[in-house]
Amino acid sequence: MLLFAPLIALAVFALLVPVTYRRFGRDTGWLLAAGFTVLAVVLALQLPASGDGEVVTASWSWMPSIDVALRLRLDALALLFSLIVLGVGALVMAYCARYFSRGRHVWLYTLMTVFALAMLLLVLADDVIVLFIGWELTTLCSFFLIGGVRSGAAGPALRALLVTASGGLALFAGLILLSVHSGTTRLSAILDDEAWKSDSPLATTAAALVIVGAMAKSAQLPLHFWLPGAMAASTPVSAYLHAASMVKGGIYVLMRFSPLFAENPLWTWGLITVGLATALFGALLALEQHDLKALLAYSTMSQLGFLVAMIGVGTPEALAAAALHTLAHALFKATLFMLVGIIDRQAGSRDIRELGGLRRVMPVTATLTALAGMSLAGLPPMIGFVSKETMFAAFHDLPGPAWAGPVALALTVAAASLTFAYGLRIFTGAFIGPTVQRRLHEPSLLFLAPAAVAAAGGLALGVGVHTLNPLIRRVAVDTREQFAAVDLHLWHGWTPELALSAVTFAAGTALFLARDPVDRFLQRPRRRLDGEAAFTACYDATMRAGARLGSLTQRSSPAAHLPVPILALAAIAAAYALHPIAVPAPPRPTTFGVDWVPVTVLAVTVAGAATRRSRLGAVILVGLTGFVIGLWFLLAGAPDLAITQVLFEVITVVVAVLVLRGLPRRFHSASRRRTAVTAGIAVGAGIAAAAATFAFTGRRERSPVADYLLHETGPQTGGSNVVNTILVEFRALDTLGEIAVLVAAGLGTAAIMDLVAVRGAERTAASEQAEVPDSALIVDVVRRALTPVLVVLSVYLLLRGHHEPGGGFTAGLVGGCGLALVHLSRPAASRTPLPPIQTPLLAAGLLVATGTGLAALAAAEPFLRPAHGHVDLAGAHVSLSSSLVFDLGVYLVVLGMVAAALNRLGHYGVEAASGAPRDAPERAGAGERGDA
Amino acid sequence: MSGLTMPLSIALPLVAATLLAVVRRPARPRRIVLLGTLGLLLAHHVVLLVAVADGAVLATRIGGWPGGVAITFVLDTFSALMLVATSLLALVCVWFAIAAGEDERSMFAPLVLVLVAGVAGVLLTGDLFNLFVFLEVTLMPSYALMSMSSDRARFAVGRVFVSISLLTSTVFLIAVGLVYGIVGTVDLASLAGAAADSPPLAAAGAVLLAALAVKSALVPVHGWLAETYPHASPGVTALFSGLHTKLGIYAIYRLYSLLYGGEARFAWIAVGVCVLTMAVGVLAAFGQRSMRSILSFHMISQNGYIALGAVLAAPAGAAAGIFYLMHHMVAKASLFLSAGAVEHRYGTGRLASFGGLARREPLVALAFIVPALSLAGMPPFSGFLAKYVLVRAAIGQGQYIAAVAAVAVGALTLASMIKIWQSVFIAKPKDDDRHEAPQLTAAPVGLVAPALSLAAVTVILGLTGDWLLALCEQAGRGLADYTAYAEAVVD
Repeated sequence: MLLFAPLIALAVFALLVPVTYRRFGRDTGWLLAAGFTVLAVVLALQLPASGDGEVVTASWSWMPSIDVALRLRLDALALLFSLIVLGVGALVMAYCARYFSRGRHVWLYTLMTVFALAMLLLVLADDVIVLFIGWELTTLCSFFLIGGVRSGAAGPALRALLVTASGGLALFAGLILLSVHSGTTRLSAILDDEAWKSDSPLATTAAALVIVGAMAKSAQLPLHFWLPGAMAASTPVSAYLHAASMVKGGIYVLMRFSPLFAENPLWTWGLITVGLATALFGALLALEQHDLKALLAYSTMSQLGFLVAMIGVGTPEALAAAALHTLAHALFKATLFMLVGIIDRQAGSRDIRELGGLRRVMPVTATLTALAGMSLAGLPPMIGFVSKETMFAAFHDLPGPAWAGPVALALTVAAASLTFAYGLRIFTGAFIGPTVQRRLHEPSLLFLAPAAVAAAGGLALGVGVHTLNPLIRRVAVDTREQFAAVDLHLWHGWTPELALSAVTFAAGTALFLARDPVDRFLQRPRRRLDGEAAFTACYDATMRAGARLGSLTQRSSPAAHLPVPILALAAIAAAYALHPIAVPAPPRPTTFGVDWVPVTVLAVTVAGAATRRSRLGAVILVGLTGFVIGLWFLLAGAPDLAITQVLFEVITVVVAVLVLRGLPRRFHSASRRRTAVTAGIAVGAGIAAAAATFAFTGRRERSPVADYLLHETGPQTGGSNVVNTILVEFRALDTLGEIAVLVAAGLGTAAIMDLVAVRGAERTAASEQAEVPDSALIVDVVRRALTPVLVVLSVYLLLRGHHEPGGGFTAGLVGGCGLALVHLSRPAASRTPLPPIQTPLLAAGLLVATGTGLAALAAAEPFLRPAHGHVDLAGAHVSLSSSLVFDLGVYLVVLGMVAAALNRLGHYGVEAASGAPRDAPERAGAGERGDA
Repeated sequence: MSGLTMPLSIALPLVAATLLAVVRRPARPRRIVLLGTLGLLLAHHVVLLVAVADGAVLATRIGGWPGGVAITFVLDTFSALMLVATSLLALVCVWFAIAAGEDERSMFAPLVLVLVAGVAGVLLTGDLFNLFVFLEVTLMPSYALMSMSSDRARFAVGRVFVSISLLTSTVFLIAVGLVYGIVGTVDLASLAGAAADSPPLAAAGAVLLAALAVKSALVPVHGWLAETYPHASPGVTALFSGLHTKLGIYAIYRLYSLLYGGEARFAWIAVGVCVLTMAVGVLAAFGQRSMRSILSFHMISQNGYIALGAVLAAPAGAAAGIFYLMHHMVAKASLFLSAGAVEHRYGTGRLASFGGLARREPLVALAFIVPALSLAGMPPFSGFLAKYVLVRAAIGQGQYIAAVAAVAVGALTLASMIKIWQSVFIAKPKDDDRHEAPQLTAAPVGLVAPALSLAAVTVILGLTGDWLLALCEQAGRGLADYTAYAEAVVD
């Protein structure tokens, strides 16, 4: 409960912010500060116990299916970071209350609270997934705090998000690798897993992934550039982000995983190299800044470098030093940011070239800055002094070659000297020298108080640093499983570290005194290592590459999209053909001499259809292909299929010809190369399909299903036409689906043509109706003779379908032919060739068919179960089946579909022809775009 | 519970479709019938899901014919999950379409209902040929819905959509024919594990999967999706995103596990396709300049993630993939709906035309950023859990390349989501009279509510998604072992 309480409390605080803000305005900051303080005190009560090694755990089963639980664990390391998060959080919240004007800052207070919650979750988590959730939440919070909601800071916010989130992904992969191979997501169990403590490739991979994540988060070279940009955020946000949250997340994770990887060479040397390079480089960059906030930003980067290097050293002493310096840095960096914000507010600038002599008008601010600056520079009696000396001492025990220790130490001293120099610069730049602005004054004490508390904390913990001994030593145990041989005291006696400190001060002072030549050196024009520019270049290049990749397939012509699927088919066939597999001989002969007749005719018609330039010719040849296949069906003994196929071709050709009236007579001409390519693809696909048909069909005995259908149709259904009983009884569901398709096609045609008609009418309202020559006289005569015959025939076909060739589909198509005749015989320019019967026909048909299915269901029978019965009518024995009703539905739908096609598409032909002058260029344009 | 009522999932919307095709006004009762039907379907599917949540399999033989002859409707946990998800999305997307007035177009309601019936048929059927039929039932109304948008490019993209779909259907039908030619049955339960001993069937299965890959827009057959989806009307794009490619993915899961179950010889090809799909989709998305283009390319990328779940060994891989699928359907539709709300109001989706919407339309901003972050796999949203279980499954099975791709693609996903966020919602508003339009949030049950409701789902799933994870695990087990499925069909 001790562990859940602060998390729940912070969540409640975040939810309450909008309410309290309405009542208290910006003073909500004070309330939050009070809340944070209470939480910090509650946790601080755990300090003595934690120092003695007591560990508090809590767990709540969250996602048992994936073994992720809200496991929390408070040891000394977690406690240290928790106190930093809450303590600095309290100060920053209090600072917010006076920093911000009285406007609406609900969003900011809420986000800051969530930020604290996320950090606390990160440091308390004992489950790698929960830890990662905390980690990503801090990333998101900082994104929104930096500039997620303001246009001004979009760039820095984007960089911060993408860099840290990408690093987060590396950490994510590392954590999953660890948890998968350890078989648990529990962090403390993974940390106990000996398998990771070697330098096996797996362990090294995991270590590398964790390092990359931490480098991005803690702004280490070369992923550092987002941090200086992040100062676009408001100062309280920067203070929190730099001192206690976000960047400290990376440090925490590195320390947390030290038990596993501290012996790994990549970990040791990678972290030391990266850390020291960042420390040195960051300090140099800090020294060349004039903007105090930017200076502090680079300073953070440099200080984090020290910490990372310390973790790399990996001895218990080094980790103790890192822990102490984390605390020291949190205190002085929070103070300095808050004070810079105050200076900015009071003096209207943060540029040391515009400031000066402020100590006369703002003595308190000056004193506090001096205290924090001393801690930064490592001067006694501040905590920063002790932590720096502890770090110097830790380098003595650097593992590895003998030269490594002195080199690392020398670099550290160099970086520390630069730190000393820029620390001095902060103070002198703002407070020493002639007072430029004489009318300034101290801000209110309430505004100064948070900074004062932090500065005083740095002093108190410097003088009383020995009180931290139990906690810091226990952190070393938590991270390296050994007690650290550290004894924290302000005065260590005459040690080598003291001498190094003296060297640091001397060198730093020298750098400060020689500030003009140093400045000239630093400010000289040179090629800069510009991470931001590199990021932007990368970002833009990726975007361009993406646009190019996308444009590969952004083609409005269907022809551009069709080849790949067809080629995939050919590829499968080719891959299969490469495996020599015996093709079984067919049980019965499958090819007869007469088959070659349709094959030859088909080859001719297909070749003709493919080469015709005339649209009408191509359509007729394709129709002919269908007729030939229909005849082939007849030859093969399938009259139902043959009749349906032929009727279908008739209707298709009629409708196609109607549509063609609105199109150019000839196809666009295609280039020779394109023709060759498409021909190649078509032939390849054709060969693949033919080969598959040859190899895979007709090579087994009749299937059990086929046997059943042939033998059981009569007994089961009372019908004798197997094809029709399959359609309306055995596989009536397929038929229901198919008529649903027809209904959708009919309704869809109507809907689209309604749209076209509306626009077409607008377009052609003024233009004269085109006169189409009336050549329908002969057709009209035929119609008068044939239509009644067709109507009777279609009804007859419908009724006899159960026993003889016929059925709803065929009957509907015959009826459709009748409709087509009626349509063709009318004057072509007529607006409504047929009454609008299609929608009622389609709806009624679908309703009837679905209804027969539902009727069975209502009788607690399976859906679409046909009911059979016999009626003795006038002595004749008539067998009745509900499937006839179903077939009636099919009939109506087919009829409706034909009516829709004739009505709408036939209408369209005339419409489009009359609107052609304006319509044609548009369509041709679309074609060209795709063909290009 | 008996499976007798399963066909209601297709019969109900078909009957409602006939009604709404004939009765053309007044508008209000029509809307009530439309939404009521979809609501009933959702309720029906929830009941079905509850019945099979423990891994039970329901089956009903349509027409009552003996096993092997009849077409069977089979419901396992996977299909039940899909039924619930698709009917939820249909309901929410139609709600949006009504709010945006898209339903006033002629025949919108009956076409959507036929589409919904087709979706249910695809998910329920246990018969390969019948699967083909119901895929057609979903496609035919879609051609019309796609072409009904007011976008000027609609006919050009409509042609792409129709021709690629027809080609895919033809290929699929050829493959169904080959399967019947080889084994003499199209009953799925009888096909379980059959491809392992039969190279011809393995080849025919490959053709089936190739056709489904086109349908699911996997690289290299992905281009049509990004070319067509952005040009449909916003509500229709959202509807299609939730239903169409997901049916292809569903069928891939079903057939891959059924035919090849556990066969790993050619898995490298499938893994390669998934990795390419993830990478190409996200990269192309990053390069786009309008909201729905970005979202469409993203869908391709995410389909790669989902398909990866089918390729990884069941049950862990399938469970992860199915969870990803569930999350993705919700998050993606939510994004299409919030982007659609913006487009509907401002008449454009070009990023460059916008700016500063976060202040003007905070609710829209919320409805966008939540699913956007979820899609990018950020906690505490469902996308994080989805990415986690999938990457965990990949690493657990030693598919490191796939895992690296899945993780790395996440960065670019985030980048392109932030690209939309910053240019539409954050950037300085352009001086443009378009922005004089009234606030979207003015209408109480307006355009934003559908997107917001789905955004809420992704948050809830992210925080309390354990029940869904458990269901997906159950579904994954069903795909790993078809014994129960086959038994239910025979009984």
